[in-house]
Amino acid sequence: MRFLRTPLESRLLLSIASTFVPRRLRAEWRREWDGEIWWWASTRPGGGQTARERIALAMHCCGALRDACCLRREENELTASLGRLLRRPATCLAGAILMLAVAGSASGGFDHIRRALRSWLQPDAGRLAVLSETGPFMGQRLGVSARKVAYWNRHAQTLEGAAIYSWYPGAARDNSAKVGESFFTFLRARPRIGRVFTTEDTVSCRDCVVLGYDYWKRNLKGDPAIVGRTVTLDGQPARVIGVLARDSWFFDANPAAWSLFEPGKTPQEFPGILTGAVCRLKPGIAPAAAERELRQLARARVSVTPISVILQRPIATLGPLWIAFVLSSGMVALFSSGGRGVKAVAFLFSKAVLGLSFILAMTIEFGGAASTTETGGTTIAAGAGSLWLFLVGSGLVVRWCWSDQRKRCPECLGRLAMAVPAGNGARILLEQSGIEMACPLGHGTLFTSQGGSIAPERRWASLDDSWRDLFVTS
Amino acid sequence: MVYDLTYVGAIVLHAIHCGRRYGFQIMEVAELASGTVYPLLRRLEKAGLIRPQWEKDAVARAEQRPTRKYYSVTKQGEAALEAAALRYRFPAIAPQESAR
Repeated sequence: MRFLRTPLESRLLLSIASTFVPRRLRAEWRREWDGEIWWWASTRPGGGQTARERIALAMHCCGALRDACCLRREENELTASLGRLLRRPATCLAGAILMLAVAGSASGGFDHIRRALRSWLQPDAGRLAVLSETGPFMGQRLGVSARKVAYWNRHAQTLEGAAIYSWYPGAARDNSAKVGESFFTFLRARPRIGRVFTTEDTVSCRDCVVLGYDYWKRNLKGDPAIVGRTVTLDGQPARVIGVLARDSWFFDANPAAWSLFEPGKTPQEFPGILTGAVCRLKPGIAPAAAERELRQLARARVSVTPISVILQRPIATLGPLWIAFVLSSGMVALFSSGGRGVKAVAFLFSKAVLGLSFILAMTIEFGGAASTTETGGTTIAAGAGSLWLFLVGSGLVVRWCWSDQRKRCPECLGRLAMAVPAGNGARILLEQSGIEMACPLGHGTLFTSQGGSIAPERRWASLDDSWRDLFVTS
Repeated sequence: MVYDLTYVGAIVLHAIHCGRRYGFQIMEVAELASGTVYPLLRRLEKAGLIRPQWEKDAVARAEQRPTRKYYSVTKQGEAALEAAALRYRFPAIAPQESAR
Protein backbone atom coordinates (compact mmCIF):
# COMPACT_ATOMS: atom_id res chain seq x y z
CA MET A 1 0.00 0.00 0.00
CA ARG A 2 1.30 3.44 -0.87
CA PHE A 3 1.87 5.40 2.28
CA LEU A 4 -0.07 8.66 2.51
CA ARG A 5 0.02 10.42 5.81
CA THR A 6 -3.29 12.00 6.86
CA PRO A 7 -2.69 15.52 8.27
CA LEU A 8 -3.06 15.91 12.02
CA GLU A 9 -6.15 18.17 11.93
CA SER A 10 -8.03 15.76 9.70
CA ARG A 11 -7.08 12.80 11.88
CA LEU A 12 -8.26 14.76 14.91
CA LEU A 13 -11.60 15.57 13.24
CA LEU A 14 -12.10 11.93 12.31
CA SER A 15 -11.27 10.80 15.85
CA ILE A 16 -13.74 13.25 17.33
CA ALA A 17 -16.41 12.24 14.81
CA SER A 18 -15.84 8.54 15.47
CA THR A 19 -16.78 9.00 19.13
CA PHE A 20 -20.32 9.84 17.99
CA VAL A 21 -20.63 6.67 15.94
CA PRO A 22 -22.33 3.79 17.78
CA ARG A 23 -19.63 1.43 19.08
CA ARG A 24 -20.99 -1.49 17.02
CA LEU A 25 -20.38 0.36 13.76
CA ARG A 26 -17.32 2.39 14.72
CA ALA A 27 -14.55 0.19 13.30
CA GLU A 28 -16.29 -0.22 9.96
CA TRP A 29 -17.14 3.47 9.80
CA ARG A 30 -13.52 4.43 10.46
CA ARG A 31 -12.30 1.95 7.86
CA GLU A 32 -14.60 3.45 5.23
CA TRP A 33 -13.55 7.01 6.03
CA ASP A 34 -9.83 6.12 6.08
CA GLY A 35 -10.25 4.60 2.63
CA GLU A 36 -12.11 7.65 1.36
CA ILE A 37 -9.47 10.01 2.69
CA TRP A 38 -6.71 7.96 1.14
CA TRP A 39 -8.53 8.17 -2.17
CA TRP A 40 -9.09 11.89 -1.77
CA ALA A 41 -5.42 12.56 -1.00
CA SER A 42 -4.12 10.30 -3.73
CA THR A 43 -6.00 12.23 -6.40
CA ARG A 44 -4.46 15.54 -5.33
CA PRO A 45 -1.21 16.73 -6.93
CA GLY A 46 0.36 17.51 -3.56
CA GLY A 47 -0.83 14.26 -1.98
CA GLY A 48 -3.01 16.28 0.39
CA GLN A 49 0.02 17.86 2.05
CA THR A 50 0.02 21.45 0.74
CA ALA A 51 -1.67 24.08 2.89
CA ARG A 52 -4.58 24.51 0.48
CA GLU A 53 -5.12 20.76 0.19
CA ARG A 54 -4.92 20.30 3.93
CA ILE A 55 -7.69 22.88 4.41
CA ALA A 56 -9.82 21.23 1.74
CA LEU A 57 -9.25 17.83 3.35
CA ALA A 58 -10.22 19.19 6.76
CA MET A 59 -13.43 20.56 5.22
CA HIS A 60 -14.05 17.13 3.74
CA CYS A 61 -13.54 15.57 7.17
CA CYS A 62 -16.08 17.99 8.68
CA GLY A 63 -18.64 15.97 6.74
CA ALA A 64 -17.61 12.99 8.87
CA LEU A 65 -19.04 14.76 11.91
CA ARG A 66 -22.39 15.17 10.21
CA ASP A 67 -22.25 11.59 9.02
CA ALA A 68 -21.44 10.31 12.52
CA CYS A 69 -24.24 12.31 14.12
CA CYS A 70 -26.69 11.08 11.50
CA LEU A 71 -25.64 7.48 12.13
CA ARG A 72 -26.00 7.86 15.86
CA ARG A 73 -29.43 9.44 15.56
CA GLU A 74 -30.78 6.87 13.16
CA GLU A 75 -29.18 3.86 14.77
CA ASN A 76 -31.05 4.42 17.97
CA GLU A 77 -34.74 3.66 17.47
CA LEU A 78 -35.62 5.56 20.61
CA THR A 79 -34.02 8.83 19.52
CA ALA A 80 -35.37 8.36 16.01
CA SER A 81 -38.91 7.92 17.34
CA LEU A 82 -38.39 10.81 19.74
CA GLY A 83 -37.25 12.94 16.81
CA ARG A 84 -40.42 12.01 14.90
CA LEU A 85 -42.53 12.80 17.94
CA LEU A 86 -40.90 16.21 18.43
CA ARG A 87 -41.68 17.16 14.85
CA ARG A 88 -45.42 17.11 15.48
CA PRO A 89 -47.15 20.45 16.07
CA ALA A 90 -48.99 19.11 19.11
CA THR A 91 -45.64 18.24 20.74
CA CYS A 92 -44.41 21.77 20.13
CA LEU A 93 -47.43 23.25 21.91
CA ALA A 94 -47.17 20.66 24.69
CA GLY A 95 -43.51 21.66 25.15
CA ALA A 96 -44.49 25.31 25.48
CA ILE A 97 -47.16 24.42 28.05
CA LEU A 98 -44.61 22.31 29.93
CA MET A 99 -42.21 25.27 30.03
CA LEU A 100 -44.98 27.41 31.51
CA ALA A 101 -45.68 24.70 34.09
CA VAL A 102 -41.98 24.53 35.05
CA ALA A 103 -41.91 28.33 35.39
CA GLY A 104 -45.04 28.10 37.54
CA SER A 105 -43.59 25.52 39.90
CA ALA A 106 -40.24 27.35 40.13
CA SER A 107 -42.01 30.54 41.16
CA GLY A 108 -44.28 28.87 43.70
CA GLY A 109 -47.32 28.84 41.41
CA PHE A 110 -46.81 32.33 39.94
CA ASP A 111 -46.85 33.77 43.44
CA HIS A 112 -46.26 37.39 42.51
CA ILE A 113 -48.84 37.38 39.71
CA ARG A 114 -51.45 35.75 41.94
CA ARG A 115 -50.88 38.36 44.66
CA ALA A 116 -51.12 41.18 42.15
CA LEU A 117 -54.36 39.79 40.71
CA ARG A 118 -55.77 39.28 44.19
CA SER A 119 -54.96 42.91 45.05
CA TRP A 120 -57.00 43.95 42.01
CA LEU A 121 -59.98 42.01 43.25
CA GLN A 122 -59.87 43.22 46.88
CA PRO A 123 -61.55 46.61 47.21
CA ASP A 124 -59.67 47.22 50.48
CA ALA A 125 -56.21 46.50 49.03
CA GLY A 126 -55.44 50.10 48.10
CA ARG A 127 -55.66 51.25 51.73
CA LEU A 128 -52.50 49.49 52.85
CA ALA A 129 -49.56 51.65 51.83
CA VAL A 130 -45.84 51.99 52.32
CA LEU A 131 -44.43 55.27 53.62
CA SER A 132 -41.07 56.33 52.30
CA GLU A 133 -39.07 59.50 52.17
CA THR A 134 -38.08 60.40 48.67
CA GLY A 135 -34.42 61.08 48.10
CA PRO A 136 -33.16 63.96 46.01
CA PHE A 137 -31.75 61.62 43.34
CA MET A 138 -34.34 60.54 40.76
CA GLY A 139 -37.04 60.05 43.40
CA GLN A 140 -35.15 57.22 45.06
CA ARG A 141 -37.21 55.82 47.94
CA LEU A 142 -35.52 55.63 51.28
CA GLY A 143 -36.64 54.48 54.69
CA VAL A 144 -38.40 56.79 57.13
CA SER A 145 -37.50 58.07 60.56
CA ALA A 146 -39.22 56.29 63.46
CA ARG A 147 -39.80 59.64 65.18
CA LYS A 148 -41.72 60.95 62.18
CA VAL A 149 -43.88 57.81 62.11
CA ALA A 150 -44.68 58.28 65.79
CA TYR A 151 -45.58 61.93 65.08
CA TRP A 152 -47.82 60.99 62.15
CA ASN A 153 -49.51 58.37 64.28
CA ARG A 154 -50.46 61.06 66.77
CA HIS A 155 -51.50 63.82 64.35
CA ALA A 156 -52.39 62.46 60.90
CA GLN A 157 -56.13 62.58 60.15
CA THR A 158 -55.92 60.59 56.94
CA LEU A 159 -54.31 57.49 58.46
CA GLU A 160 -55.80 54.77 60.64
CA GLY A 161 -52.24 54.34 61.85
CA ALA A 162 -48.70 53.51 60.83
CA ALA A 163 -46.12 51.00 62.03
CA ILE A 164 -42.40 50.80 61.47
CA TYR A 165 -40.49 47.76 60.31
CA SER A 166 -36.85 47.05 59.72
CA TRP A 167 -34.82 44.15 58.40
CA TYR A 168 -31.31 42.98 58.00
CA PRO A 169 -30.60 43.31 54.32
CA GLY A 170 -29.76 40.16 52.43
CA ALA A 171 -29.28 36.88 54.23
CA ALA A 172 -27.37 38.27 57.17
CA ARG A 173 -27.84 36.30 60.32
CA ASP A 174 -31.22 34.58 60.27
CA ASN A 175 -32.66 37.34 58.11
CA SER A 176 -34.86 38.48 60.94
CA ALA A 177 -36.98 41.62 60.97
CA LYS A 178 -38.20 43.94 63.69
CA VAL A 179 -41.65 45.49 63.62
CA GLY A 180 -43.87 47.84 65.55
CA GLU A 181 -46.63 46.17 67.58
CA SER A 182 -49.43 47.16 65.17
CA PHE A 183 -47.55 46.12 62.02
CA PHE A 184 -49.41 42.84 61.56
CA THR A 185 -52.73 44.47 62.43
CA PHE A 186 -52.33 46.96 59.59
CA LEU A 187 -51.13 44.22 57.29
CA ARG A 188 -54.16 42.06 58.20
CA ALA A 189 -51.68 39.17 58.47
CA ARG A 190 -53.22 35.94 59.72
CA PRO A 191 -51.28 33.44 61.82
CA ARG A 192 -51.22 29.82 60.73
CA ILE A 193 -50.79 28.73 64.32
CA GLY A 194 -50.61 30.78 67.52
CA ARG A 195 -51.05 34.53 67.20
CA VAL A 196 -49.35 37.72 65.99
CA PHE A 197 -48.23 40.70 68.11
CA THR A 198 -50.60 42.88 70.08
CA THR A 199 -50.04 46.19 71.91
CA GLU A 200 -49.59 44.39 75.25
CA ASP A 201 -46.64 42.43 73.90
CA THR A 202 -44.34 45.49 74.04
CA VAL A 203 -44.30 45.09 77.81
CA SER A 204 -44.96 41.45 78.53
CA CYS A 205 -43.43 39.69 75.57
CA ARG A 206 -40.13 41.36 74.71
CA ASP A 207 -38.40 38.10 73.75
CA CYS A 208 -41.29 36.86 71.64
CA VAL A 209 -41.07 36.12 67.93
CA VAL A 210 -43.48 35.30 65.14
CA LEU A 211 -41.93 32.86 62.69
CA GLY A 212 -42.16 33.10 58.93
CA TYR A 213 -43.91 30.15 57.25
CA ASP A 214 -40.91 29.10 55.12
CA TYR A 215 -38.50 29.11 58.06
CA TRP A 216 -40.94 27.13 60.21
CA LYS A 217 -41.51 24.60 57.48
CA ARG A 218 -37.86 24.26 56.44
CA ASN A 219 -35.88 24.59 59.68
CA LEU A 220 -38.41 23.35 62.22
CA LYS A 221 -40.01 20.76 59.93
CA GLY A 222 -43.43 22.37 60.36
CA ASP A 223 -43.61 21.41 64.06
CA PRO A 224 -47.27 22.09 65.04
CA ALA A 225 -46.34 22.30 68.74
CA ILE A 226 -43.77 25.06 68.27
CA VAL A 227 -45.91 27.77 69.89
CA GLY A 228 -44.67 28.46 73.43
CA ARG A 229 -41.29 26.85 72.84
CA THR A 230 -37.96 28.66 72.83
CA VAL A 231 -35.79 28.69 69.70
CA THR A 232 -32.38 30.24 69.10
CA LEU A 233 -32.32 33.04 66.53
CA ASP A 234 -29.24 35.13 65.81
CA GLY A 235 -27.65 33.41 68.83
CA GLN A 236 -30.39 34.67 71.16
CA PRO A 237 -33.18 32.62 72.76
CA ALA A 238 -36.63 33.62 71.55
CA ARG A 239 -40.11 32.48 72.52
CA VAL A 240 -42.37 31.56 69.62
CA ILE A 241 -45.90 32.96 69.87
CA GLY A 242 -47.05 32.12 66.36
CA VAL A 243 -46.30 31.22 62.78
CA LEU A 244 -47.50 33.35 59.89
CA ALA A 245 -49.82 31.84 57.29
CA ARG A 246 -48.29 30.62 54.05
CA ASP A 247 -49.70 33.45 51.96
CA SER A 248 -48.53 36.18 54.36
CA TRP A 249 -46.18 38.35 52.43
CA PHE A 250 -44.47 41.65 52.75
CA PHE A 251 -42.15 42.44 49.85
CA ASP A 252 -39.52 39.87 49.23
CA ALA A 253 -37.48 39.95 52.42
CA ASN A 254 -39.39 36.93 53.69
CA PRO A 255 -37.75 37.07 57.13
CA ALA A 256 -37.25 33.92 59.17
CA ALA A 257 -38.65 35.60 62.27
CA TRP A 258 -40.31 38.81 63.29
CA SER A 259 -39.72 40.41 66.68
CA LEU A 260 -40.73 43.69 68.31
CA PHE A 261 -38.56 46.78 68.58
CA GLU A 262 -37.24 47.11 72.07
CA PRO A 263 -39.17 49.80 73.95
CA GLY A 264 -37.17 52.95 74.53
CA LYS A 265 -34.84 52.16 71.68
CA THR A 266 -35.41 53.79 68.32
CA PRO A 267 -34.57 51.84 65.18
CA GLN A 268 -31.76 54.29 64.43
CA GLU A 269 -29.86 52.78 67.31
CA PHE A 270 -29.42 49.58 65.30
CA PRO A 271 -26.66 50.32 62.84
CA GLY A 272 -26.74 48.56 59.50
CA ILE A 273 -30.47 47.96 59.43
CA LEU A 274 -33.02 49.70 57.24
CA THR A 275 -36.27 51.14 58.52
CA GLY A 276 -39.52 51.54 56.66
CA ALA A 277 -43.13 52.16 57.60
CA VAL A 278 -46.44 50.74 56.60
CA CYS A 279 -49.73 52.55 57.11
CA ARG A 280 -53.44 52.00 56.61
CA LEU A 281 -55.39 54.83 55.07
CA LYS A 282 -58.82 55.73 56.41
CA PRO A 283 -61.68 54.58 54.13
CA GLY A 284 -62.21 56.88 51.17
CA ILE A 285 -58.86 58.67 51.56
CA ALA A 286 -56.73 58.77 48.43
CA PRO A 287 -52.97 58.16 48.78
CA ALA A 288 -52.31 61.62 47.31
CA ALA A 289 -54.37 63.27 50.07
CA ALA A 290 -52.50 61.35 52.75
CA GLU A 291 -49.22 62.27 51.11
CA ARG A 292 -50.13 65.98 51.17
CA GLU A 293 -51.04 65.85 54.85
CA LEU A 294 -47.92 63.93 55.89
CA ARG A 295 -45.70 66.31 53.94
CA GLN A 296 -47.26 69.27 55.71
CA LEU A 297 -46.94 67.64 59.12
CA ALA A 298 -43.32 66.54 58.77
CA ARG A 299 -42.03 69.05 56.25
CA ALA A 300 -40.45 66.19 54.39
CA ARG A 301 -40.71 64.67 50.91
CA VAL A 302 -42.91 61.74 51.84
CA SER A 303 -44.37 59.25 49.43
CA VAL A 304 -47.42 57.07 50.14
CA THR A 305 -47.55 54.09 47.81
CA PRO A 306 -50.33 51.51 48.11
CA ILE A 307 -48.96 47.98 48.19
CA SER A 308 -51.44 47.01 45.48
CA VAL A 309 -49.73 49.56 43.19
CA ILE A 310 -46.30 48.10 44.00
CA LEU A 311 -47.58 44.58 43.33
CA GLN A 312 -49.27 45.55 40.09
CA ARG A 313 -46.38 47.66 38.82
CA PRO A 314 -44.60 44.92 36.81
CA ILE A 315 -47.88 43.83 35.22
CA ALA A 316 -48.86 47.43 34.47
CA THR A 317 -45.46 48.02 32.83
CA LEU A 318 -45.06 44.79 30.91
CA GLY A 319 -48.71 43.90 30.25
CA PRO A 320 -49.21 46.44 27.41
CA LEU A 321 -45.91 45.34 25.84
CA TRP A 322 -47.05 41.70 26.03
CA ILE A 323 -50.35 42.61 24.34
CA ALA A 324 -48.43 44.51 21.64
CA PHE A 325 -46.18 41.49 20.99
CA VAL A 326 -49.14 39.09 20.91
CA LEU A 327 -51.10 41.31 18.51
CA SER A 328 -48.13 41.79 16.21
CA SER A 329 -47.43 38.05 16.11
CA GLY A 330 -51.12 37.53 15.33
CA MET A 331 -50.81 39.99 12.43
CA VAL A 332 -47.66 38.22 11.21
CA ALA A 333 -49.50 34.88 11.41
CA LEU A 334 -52.39 36.26 9.36
CA PHE A 335 -50.27 37.93 6.68
CA SER A 336 -47.77 35.11 6.34
CA SER A 337 -50.33 32.32 6.10
CA GLY A 338 -50.68 32.91 2.37
CA GLY A 339 -54.20 31.57 2.49
CA ARG A 340 -53.03 28.19 3.75
CA GLY A 341 -55.77 27.97 6.30
CA VAL A 342 -56.80 28.68 9.82
CA LYS A 343 -54.76 25.79 11.23
CA ALA A 344 -51.38 27.33 10.36
CA VAL A 345 -52.41 30.76 11.66
CA ALA A 346 -53.77 29.29 14.90
CA PHE A 347 -50.62 27.24 15.40
CA LEU A 348 -48.24 30.16 14.93
CA PHE A 349 -50.40 32.38 17.12
CA SER A 350 -50.67 29.77 19.90
CA LYS A 351 -46.91 29.21 19.88
CA ALA A 352 -46.29 32.94 20.15
CA VAL A 353 -48.85 33.45 22.94
CA LEU A 354 -47.47 30.57 25.01
CA GLY A 355 -43.85 31.63 24.50
CA LEU A 356 -44.57 35.28 25.28
CA SER A 357 -46.56 34.31 28.36
CA PHE A 358 -43.59 32.28 29.56
CA ILE A 359 -41.27 35.28 29.17
CA LEU A 360 -43.80 37.60 30.84
CA ALA A 361 -44.28 35.26 33.79
CA MET A 362 -40.54 34.75 34.27
CA THR A 363 -39.86 38.51 34.11
CA ILE A 364 -42.60 39.39 36.57
CA GLU A 365 -41.89 36.57 38.99
CA PHE A 366 -38.12 36.87 39.12
CA GLY A 367 -37.26 40.25 37.61
CA GLY A 368 -40.14 42.09 39.29
CA ALA A 369 -39.38 40.61 42.68
CA ALA A 370 -35.66 41.35 42.36
CA SER A 371 -36.22 44.94 41.35
CA THR A 372 -38.62 45.86 44.18
CA THR A 373 -36.93 47.35 47.22
CA GLU A 374 -38.17 47.00 50.78
CA THR A 375 -39.38 50.60 50.67
CA GLY A 376 -41.57 49.87 47.66
CA GLY A 377 -39.31 51.50 45.09
CA THR A 378 -37.66 49.99 42.08
CA THR A 379 -33.92 49.58 41.83
CA ILE A 380 -32.84 51.35 38.66
CA ALA A 381 -30.51 48.61 37.43
CA ALA A 382 -32.81 45.68 38.18
CA GLY A 383 -35.89 47.53 36.87
CA ALA A 384 -34.23 48.37 33.57
CA GLY A 385 -32.74 44.86 33.48
CA SER A 386 -36.20 43.30 33.80
CA LEU A 387 -37.53 45.46 30.98
CA TRP A 388 -34.65 44.53 28.72
CA LEU A 389 -34.96 40.88 29.67
CA PHE A 390 -38.59 40.99 28.63
CA LEU A 391 -37.97 42.86 25.38
CA VAL A 392 -35.04 40.67 24.30
CA GLY A 393 -36.78 37.45 25.42
CA SER A 394 -39.98 38.37 23.59
CA GLY A 395 -38.06 39.32 20.46
CA LEU A 396 -36.29 35.98 20.48
CA VAL A 397 -39.55 34.09 21.06
CA VAL A 398 -41.30 35.83 18.15
CA ARG A 399 -38.29 35.27 15.90
CA TRP A 400 -38.09 31.58 16.84
CA CYS A 401 -41.83 31.09 16.27
CA TRP A 402 -41.49 32.64 12.82
CA SER A 403 -38.41 30.64 11.81
CA ASP A 404 -39.93 27.42 13.20
CA GLN A 405 -43.06 28.02 11.16
CA ARG A 406 -40.98 28.39 8.02
CA LYS A 407 -39.47 24.96 8.60
CA ARG A 408 -42.85 23.26 8.81
CA CYS A 409 -44.97 21.53 6.23
CA PRO A 410 -47.80 23.90 5.29
CA GLU A 411 -50.20 20.99 5.10
CA CYS A 412 -49.61 18.89 8.22
CA LEU A 413 -47.56 21.52 10.14
CA GLY A 414 -45.02 18.81 10.99
CA ARG A 415 -41.45 20.00 11.18
CA LEU A 416 -39.61 19.26 7.93
CA ALA A 417 -36.87 16.66 8.14
CA MET A 418 -33.93 15.20 6.26
CA ALA A 419 -32.23 18.51 5.66
CA VAL A 420 -29.47 18.10 3.10
CA PRO A 421 -27.27 20.91 1.95
CA ALA A 422 -27.25 21.17 -1.81
CA GLY A 423 -24.48 23.64 -1.28
CA ASN A 424 -21.57 25.20 -3.05
CA GLY A 425 -20.35 22.33 -5.14
CA ALA A 426 -23.85 21.45 -6.25
CA ARG A 427 -24.06 24.45 -8.55
CA ILE A 428 -23.39 22.47 -11.72
CA LEU A 429 -25.91 19.69 -11.33
CA LEU A 430 -28.50 21.42 -9.20
CA GLU A 431 -27.86 24.90 -10.60
CA GLN A 432 -28.33 26.46 -7.21
CA SER A 433 -27.14 26.30 -3.65
CA GLY A 434 -29.28 25.86 -0.59
CA ILE A 435 -30.88 23.37 1.77
CA GLU A 436 -33.46 20.82 0.79
CA MET A 437 -35.90 19.48 3.34
CA ALA A 438 -38.85 17.16 3.02
CA CYS A 439 -42.08 16.57 4.89
CA PRO A 440 -41.73 13.18 6.62
CA LEU A 441 -45.28 12.36 5.53
CA GLY A 442 -44.46 13.11 1.91
CA HIS A 443 -46.58 16.23 1.49
CA GLY A 444 -43.76 18.03 -0.30
CA THR A 445 -40.23 19.33 -0.31
CA LEU A 446 -38.85 22.73 0.55
CA PHE A 447 -35.79 24.23 -1.02
CA THR A 448 -34.29 27.19 0.83
CA SER A 449 -31.72 29.17 -1.07
CA GLN A 450 -28.62 30.13 0.89
CA GLY A 451 -27.99 33.24 -1.16
CA GLY A 452 -25.78 33.82 -4.19
CA SER A 453 -28.34 32.09 -6.33
CA ILE A 454 -30.83 33.31 -8.87
CA ALA A 455 -33.33 30.77 -7.56
CA PRO A 456 -36.22 32.01 -5.36
CA GLU A 457 -35.34 32.20 -1.67
CA ARG A 458 -37.88 29.53 -0.72
CA ARG A 459 -39.59 27.07 -2.96
CA TRP A 460 -42.19 24.66 -1.65
CA ALA A 461 -42.98 21.82 -4.00
CA SER A 462 -46.25 20.22 -3.05
CA LEU A 463 -46.40 16.52 -3.84
CA ASP A 464 -49.68 14.78 -4.52
CA ASP A 465 -50.59 11.24 -3.48
CA SER A 466 -48.90 9.74 -6.51
CA TRP A 467 -45.54 10.74 -4.97
CA ARG A 468 -46.27 9.00 -1.71
CA ASP A 469 -44.45 5.82 -2.80
CA LEU A 470 -41.17 7.71 -2.88
CA PHE A 471 -41.48 8.78 0.70
CA VAL A 472 -43.60 6.42 2.71
CA THR A 473 -44.08 2.71 2.24
CA SER A 474 -45.68 0.27 4.58
CA MET B 1 -40.47 2.39 6.33
CA VAL B 2 -39.46 5.82 5.00
CA TYR B 3 -37.51 6.18 1.75
CA ASP B 4 -36.57 9.87 2.19
CA LEU B 5 -36.07 10.08 -1.54
CA THR B 6 -35.77 13.80 -1.93
CA TYR B 7 -34.26 15.35 -5.02
CA VAL B 8 -30.74 15.23 -3.64
CA GLY B 9 -31.34 11.66 -2.42
CA ALA B 10 -32.52 10.68 -5.88
CA ILE B 11 -29.40 12.28 -7.43
CA VAL B 12 -27.17 10.14 -5.19
CA LEU B 13 -29.16 7.03 -6.05
CA HIS B 14 -28.92 7.96 -9.72
CA ALA B 15 -25.15 8.42 -9.43
CA ILE B 16 -24.76 4.97 -7.89
CA HIS B 17 -26.97 3.52 -10.58
CA CYS B 18 -24.68 5.10 -13.18
CA GLY B 19 -21.70 3.27 -11.72
CA ARG B 20 -20.30 5.67 -9.14
CA ARG B 21 -19.97 3.15 -6.39
CA TYR B 22 -18.28 4.71 -3.38
CA GLY B 23 -18.62 7.92 -1.40
CA PHE B 24 -15.85 9.99 -2.88
CA GLN B 25 -16.77 9.13 -6.47
CA ILE B 26 -20.37 10.13 -5.81
CA MET B 27 -19.24 13.39 -4.25
CA GLU B 28 -17.13 14.17 -7.26
CA VAL B 29 -19.77 13.48 -9.87
CA ALA B 30 -22.66 15.07 -8.01
CA GLU B 31 -20.50 17.90 -6.67
CA LEU B 32 -22.09 17.48 -3.28
CA ALA B 33 -20.33 17.94 0.05
CA SER B 34 -19.23 14.95 2.14
CA GLY B 35 -21.66 16.04 4.88
CA THR B 36 -24.50 15.56 2.38
CA VAL B 37 -23.44 12.40 0.59
CA TYR B 38 -22.49 10.11 3.48
CA PRO B 39 -25.61 10.72 5.61
CA LEU B 40 -27.69 10.17 2.45
CA LEU B 41 -25.87 6.89 1.80
CA ARG B 42 -26.76 5.72 5.34
CA ARG B 43 -30.40 6.70 4.82
CA LEU B 44 -30.65 5.02 1.45
CA GLU B 45 -29.00 1.92 2.89
CA LYS B 46 -31.41 1.88 5.81
CA ALA B 47 -34.34 2.25 3.42
CA GLY B 48 -33.06 -0.76 1.48
CA LEU B 49 -32.53 1.19 -1.74
CA ILE B 50 -28.78 0.53 -1.87
CA ARG B 51 -26.62 -2.31 -0.63
CA PRO B 52 -23.07 -1.87 0.67
CA GLN B 53 -20.31 -4.37 0.04
CA TRP B 54 -16.65 -4.33 1.04
CA GLU B 55 -14.30 -5.18 -1.80
CA LYS B 56 -11.94 -8.11 -1.45
CA ASP B 57 -8.70 -7.39 0.39
CA ALA B 58 -6.66 -9.00 -2.36
CA VAL B 59 -7.91 -6.53 -4.98
CA ALA B 60 -7.08 -3.53 -2.81
CA ARG B 61 -3.67 -5.01 -1.95
CA ALA B 62 -2.87 -5.52 -5.59
CA GLU B 63 -3.67 -1.85 -6.28
CA GLN B 64 -1.75 -0.75 -3.17
CA ARG B 65 -4.63 1.06 -1.53
CA PRO B 66 -7.08 0.55 1.35
CA THR B 67 -10.21 -1.52 0.78
CA ARG B 68 -13.27 0.36 -0.36
CA LYS B 69 -16.90 0.08 0.54
CA TYR B 70 -18.93 -0.14 -2.65
CA TYR B 71 -22.61 0.61 -2.95
CA SER B 72 -25.02 -0.85 -5.46
CA VAL B 73 -28.67 -0.17 -6.15
CA THR B 74 -31.10 -2.88 -5.00
CA LYS B 75 -34.21 -3.96 -6.89
CA GLN B 76 -36.26 -1.82 -4.55
CA GLY B 77 -33.90 1.06 -5.25
CA GLU B 78 -34.27 0.60 -8.97
CA ALA B 79 -38.05 0.76 -8.65
CA ALA B 80 -37.77 3.92 -6.54
CA LEU B 81 -35.34 5.43 -9.02
CA GLU B 82 -37.69 4.62 -11.88
CA ALA B 83 -40.52 6.36 -10.04
CA ALA B 84 -38.25 9.29 -9.16
CA ALA B 85 -37.17 9.65 -12.78
CA LEU B 86 -40.76 10.43 -13.69
CA ARG B 87 -40.79 13.25 -11.15
CA TYR B 88 -37.30 14.66 -11.11
CA ARG B 89 -35.10 15.78 -13.96
CA PHE B 90 -31.80 13.97 -13.49
CA PRO B 91 -28.53 15.36 -14.76
CA ALA B 92 -26.71 13.34 -17.37
CA ILE B 93 -24.10 11.10 -15.80
CA ALA B 94 -22.10 8.89 -18.06
CA PRO B 95 -22.50 5.23 -17.08
CA GLN B 96 -19.40 3.73 -15.53
CA GLU B 97 -19.00 0.01 -15.45
CA SER B 98 -16.39 -0.28 -12.76
CA ALA B 99 -14.66 1.96 -10.30
CA ARG B 100 -11.07 2.95 -10.80
